[in-house]
Amino acid sequence: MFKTDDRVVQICLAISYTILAMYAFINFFNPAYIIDQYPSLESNDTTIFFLIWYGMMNFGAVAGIIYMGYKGLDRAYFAYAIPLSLLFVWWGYSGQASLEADEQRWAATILFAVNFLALVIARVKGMGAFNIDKADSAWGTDDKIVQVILYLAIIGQVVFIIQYFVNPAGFIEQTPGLEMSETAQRFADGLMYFAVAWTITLLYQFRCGYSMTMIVTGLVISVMFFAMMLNFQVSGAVEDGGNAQLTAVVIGNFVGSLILFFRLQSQH
Amino acid sequence: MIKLEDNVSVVIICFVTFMAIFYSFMFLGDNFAAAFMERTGGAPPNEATLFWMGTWGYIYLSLAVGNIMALLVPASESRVYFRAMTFLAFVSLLRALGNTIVAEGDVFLPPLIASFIVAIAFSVVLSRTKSRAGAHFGWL
Repeated sequence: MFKTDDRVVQICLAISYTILAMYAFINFFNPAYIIDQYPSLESNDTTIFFLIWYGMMNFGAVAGIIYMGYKGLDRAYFAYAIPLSLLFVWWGYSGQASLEADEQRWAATILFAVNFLALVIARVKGMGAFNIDKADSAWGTDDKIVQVILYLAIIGQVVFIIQYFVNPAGFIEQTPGLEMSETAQRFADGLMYFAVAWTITLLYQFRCGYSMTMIVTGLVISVMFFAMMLNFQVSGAVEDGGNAQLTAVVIGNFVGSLILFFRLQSQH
Repeated sequence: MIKLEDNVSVVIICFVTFMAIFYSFMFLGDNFAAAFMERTGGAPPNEATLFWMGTWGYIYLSLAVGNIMALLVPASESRVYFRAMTFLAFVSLLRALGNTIVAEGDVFLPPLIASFIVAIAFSVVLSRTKSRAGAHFGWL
């Protein structure tokens, strides 16, 4: 498993997988359970929207671990998962610390911290030094289409981060059906953390070569988002035409991920 | 990464897999399931109906994962799966056809069309990957 005999690495990644899969399944399939557990979460469509979003992102990370399980450890995955898990430790801590004592629930924050430690140990034990070796060409491939899509991906993530800092409430304001609240804003902050983690791993891949693990991770996420978006459209749940930018990004991610996967999969 | 040798079959299975994911999400989400029932002309679903629709959602999701697994191995390792899926798709088509024939009032055609497409799609996969059962019985 993971093309290593190191039991510590295997156990650490098993722990990370378990935590991520648990939150993926609960957030995506049963967001009401999370809402019941956290008195600070309002039971409304906005909370469910964000929980499902987080669930889909977790499914992507789970797919990445499964892929590494068969193909071996991948530095780019850790360049994504370690910063992201650290950011979410902060996210969980700051969110709970701001609440009244009787409303605080620390389970998620503790599990995020365990996940972070497990990933760091797996990375250090399994892959050694944090060196950043330069690939022969940008993104480690001469395929121009792949390069263009990956450039667009990194530009998209950076634009999202800039938009957040210009107007942190912008995403919620531009998405019909979402209600602004402290909790909703905290979830929107989390979306920016995902963008930061993706930017880090894309920059890493720009220098060291693309990562099939991250392409599979992105593919799983983008397919789930696209299928979910179609369901929103078909069921008539989209209000006032929805968020046009979000729709464009979901479609763009879906098409881009498919092109990346099918152009590169034969080499792996 | 994809080990299924026939490109046409790969495209077909990817398409069918996406349909399965789409339907699984539709049945797993209560609001989506209720909207689906409304469009099919059925009564608004109660808790029990939503429970069973959710169960079907998980089945669809499992089949999508099965399809992905079939993409990752040579056709020779998926022959029984392709046969089972073709039969399943054919039975679903017959049921959708029967439901459409006996339906009163406005007929909601997408389930019938989707079942037809999937049955044909798996039949083509079955042929192109040389997975038809008869092809492997030397005495026939």
